[in-house]
Amino acid sequence: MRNSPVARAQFSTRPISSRRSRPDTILPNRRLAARSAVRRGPAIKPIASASLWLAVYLALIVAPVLVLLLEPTPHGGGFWWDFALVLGYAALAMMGLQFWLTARFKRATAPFGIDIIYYFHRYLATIACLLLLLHASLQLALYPDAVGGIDPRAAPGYMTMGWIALLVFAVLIASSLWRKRLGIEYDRWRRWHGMLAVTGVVLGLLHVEGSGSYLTSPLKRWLWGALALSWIGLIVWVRVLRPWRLRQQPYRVVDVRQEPGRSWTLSLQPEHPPAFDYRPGQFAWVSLRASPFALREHPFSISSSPTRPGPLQFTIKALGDFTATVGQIGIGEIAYVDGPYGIFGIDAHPHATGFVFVAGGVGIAPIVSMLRALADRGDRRPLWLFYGNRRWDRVVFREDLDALRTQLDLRLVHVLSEPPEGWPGEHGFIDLAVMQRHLPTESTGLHFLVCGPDPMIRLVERNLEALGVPLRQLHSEIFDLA
Amino acid sequence: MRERWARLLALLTGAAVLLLAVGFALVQNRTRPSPAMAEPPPVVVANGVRVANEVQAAVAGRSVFDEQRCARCHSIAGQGNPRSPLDGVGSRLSREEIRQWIVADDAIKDDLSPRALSAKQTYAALPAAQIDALVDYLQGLRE
Repeated sequence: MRNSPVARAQFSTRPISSRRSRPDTILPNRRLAARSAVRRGPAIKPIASASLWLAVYLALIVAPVLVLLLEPTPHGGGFWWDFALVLGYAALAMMGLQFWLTARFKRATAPFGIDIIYYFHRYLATIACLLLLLHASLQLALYPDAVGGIDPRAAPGYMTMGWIALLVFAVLIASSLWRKRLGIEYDRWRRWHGMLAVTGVVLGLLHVEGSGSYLTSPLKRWLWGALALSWIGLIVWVRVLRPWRLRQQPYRVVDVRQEPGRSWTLSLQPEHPPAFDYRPGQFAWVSLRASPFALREHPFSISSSPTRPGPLQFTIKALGDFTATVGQIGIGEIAYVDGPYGIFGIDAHPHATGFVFVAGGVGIAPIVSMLRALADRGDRRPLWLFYGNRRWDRVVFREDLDALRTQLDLRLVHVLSEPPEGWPGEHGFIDLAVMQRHLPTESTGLHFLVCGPDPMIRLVERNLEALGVPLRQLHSEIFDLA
Repeated sequence: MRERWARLLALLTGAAVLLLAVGFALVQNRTRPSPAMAEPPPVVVANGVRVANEVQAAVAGRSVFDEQRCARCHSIAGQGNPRSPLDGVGSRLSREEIRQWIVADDAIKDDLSPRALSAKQTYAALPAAQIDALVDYLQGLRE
């Protein structure tokens, strides 16, 4: 049955009318070409840049603590006293650093990919919160008389602020790690997240200022004050200046196309062209029906290709509270776009001998962007696409992919978990056996790009590791940021 | 894969901060050993009214010490803030010096941090009897 011609005909997705020829125009994007030329240079460049930013990061954590050792230093209070106290300072500096991590500085995040920066932000915040907890419990357990108890009626104000800060941070972490389980809606969570973060850090700073055990000279107080100002300054940048800049470049919705499987492709045209340069596979934060100041922006993959003129396109599936409303967006509405971000894409691996794409559901969006770019550039490297969906009638870009197949050396493998009667293709999940059936035994030089829901990414990564694919040739885009 | 790196880097950062705190605490305490914890002040055993008065004064002084929450910044016998221990202060300072340190007198003002200065200035307003009792109590803290 697998290869019966009847079944093939039934599931053919190549209506003659939708067959596309190569686009007439290919954008000669000079700036982009120049940028990728730099990327093609010796591999040391991204590593050097990553190391530089890692050094900056370490300095931002270590320096605030070393400042405390500047003369005049107070008498030592015993090992555990000083250990517990400096832990509090360092953990607060880690919390302050979070504002740097999430300020979306393009240059600093580029070597790592901003999706991973958000992941890192989450881990680091959890660890900082644990360190703060250690700081407070050591103090309370070993020096109860100096701490003066938790009761706010008896304790000095700055101690109470420290306790509230700790509580705020605990709420902040719990509400982020378990947002979905707690049923907190994304937009609301995000507003509260920002407010709680600022509250926690400001209370922490007031606690330090009040107890101020190491801030014994004007210089030290000034340096810590400057540090605190840099954190507050970043809030102003993120919440005021960047939204203000985004408002200067509004986009207009020029098309809303319904795709299969509760998905829509939104086409956005800048009011004052040109739009930003981007690489295929990147994403942007989009605000729809909301001012950029409202912080109701959502990260979406760009499905259009920079090699083609025309609007910026985002393909969005109804998965959450906000995405369910995308279909109601009307033509002519205003949108704001903060981007591009992300390092997921073919252009980061110019030396690859070929690419294997693995997409789950709407995870196809950035991959279609890449395939379009490869087609427009006349790239003849061998390509594979493993595309997992539940049902055949929900496969997004089904026809576009067939059209692309005529222009590319592309092997397209649809994998359906609920295949229809007589389905000749692969079914189940994109597991080891499926991949082994279609991939060549010799896959040195191939790069693997995976985009889809978290469990799928994990499964595919495990399988590829089992196949002996080196980790540096395995790339994935994290979908779910919180 | 990148998640693993992110998690590893976050864990390493946490470990580095712990090490940094250990190093800091060692540097801070390199000149002076940490004050002995929980060593009770020597009990004066003697007879007569004078000793009884002294004991009474010491008890009154201790309650002033507690009421004014001196332990936030000072420790006695390992209880309280270990940064400025008062153990043996009676052997190091005279009565008058102790009084000057309590109320941030002009004579010792320059040796106090601005924060300590502002905390101590309020003690000058305490009733003289309370300050005397506190001085008595601290005088009794001998090496």
